[in-house]
Amino acid sequence: MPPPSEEFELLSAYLDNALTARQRQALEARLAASSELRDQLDELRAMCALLRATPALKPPRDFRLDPARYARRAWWSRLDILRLTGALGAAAAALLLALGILLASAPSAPSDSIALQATDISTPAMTARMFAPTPTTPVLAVAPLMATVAPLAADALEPFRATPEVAMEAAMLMATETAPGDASAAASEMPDMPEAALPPVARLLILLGALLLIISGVLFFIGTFRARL
Amino acid sequence: MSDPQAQSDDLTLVARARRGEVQAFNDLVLRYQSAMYNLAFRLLDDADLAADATQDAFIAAFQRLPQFRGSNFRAWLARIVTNACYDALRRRRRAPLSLEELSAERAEGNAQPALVSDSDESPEQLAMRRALSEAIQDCLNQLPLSFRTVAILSDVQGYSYDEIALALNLSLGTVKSRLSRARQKLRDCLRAVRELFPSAYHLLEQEDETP
Repeated sequence: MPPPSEEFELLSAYLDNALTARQRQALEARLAASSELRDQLDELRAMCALLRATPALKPPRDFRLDPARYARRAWWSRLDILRLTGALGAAAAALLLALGILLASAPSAPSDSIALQATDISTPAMTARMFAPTPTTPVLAVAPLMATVAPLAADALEPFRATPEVAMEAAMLMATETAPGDASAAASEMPDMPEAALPPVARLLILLGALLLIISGVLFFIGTFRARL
Repeated sequence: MSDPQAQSDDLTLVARARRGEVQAFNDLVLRYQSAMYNLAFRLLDDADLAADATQDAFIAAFQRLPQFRGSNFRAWLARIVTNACYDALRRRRRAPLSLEELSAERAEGNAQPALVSDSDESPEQLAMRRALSEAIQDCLNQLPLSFRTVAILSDVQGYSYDEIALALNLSLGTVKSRLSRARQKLRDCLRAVRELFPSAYHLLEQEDETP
């Protein structure tokens, strides 16, 4: 015969059908032999029935959430849009970075080579052919972007304020291409131009690319993190 | 009690609510607000605290919905409600009521909220059930909090051992032994109730006979 509290635990678990087969058989044998134990079980059973019949209380108010207030979670749960934006942004960033690196490496340090180019008539024409289409397009495309980014990163963009000059030079280089005869004249003017006019475009592209990469990364991270939350 | 149909309906609603459908979540609220409010009230014995805890719990549940794993929404919700109640108790212990507030509460008759009642219930029956509700509450109040929680979930609300283990993050063995000790204490307290409410027991016996 187990001690009373153990006995009670057996009866309690027996009511909930939570005994092992062996425990149940042992208890049932003792129940059959002891009317006292049967009374205990009956009392416990009646008490549980009473508790189960505890009168239900009416909730004093409705606990539904106000959709107008909580609907904004819908935005959070549409995480795939965040992640998609992040991924597309990263792709665009990679493109910008690639373009920037290409621009930075292709001219083989133009500031140094300007003097050399001035001596060789064919070189400025060649560089012009190489760069005339590229600088104009990125500059045009990048200018509005820069306008939006400028307030955010005014300091960072300080070196790129020379963009109009870049455009000017690009136009001038185009002019050299259309009129190769003036190439030497144009080339002789070149040293007067601000130093390293092309690399800033490349640097701008790289900076924008890096910025976009960071933003995309953050978006993607938020998307992924929110999904796990 | 954890009927599989109800559980799968819950999971459908949970999936929709996770996609941001507040309406789907509100369907879950409608389904469970009565049970959860009753759980909170039986734990706290305070109508206002219980209402606040229930509301907090539903908001928290909505916000933590993406964390819900598993298949038993009711047990998960009970866990959040229980924790909200424990928080409320901790706050109350830190800022106990002043004597004036206490006497004001007493003057309000320490009011239990209205009972859910059938329209065909006689005033006498309603009064009897009301007294029973208060007597059971008095006995529950005498239990230590951890025993009270297990007793309410199991015997008042009909949760299985598995669900309680899930809701309270306890082992099955702990659920079994805590419930046994809670019942032992409740038995001694409710013996007096039994003498006070023989008709309640009588009522139950009649109900038992009619399936």
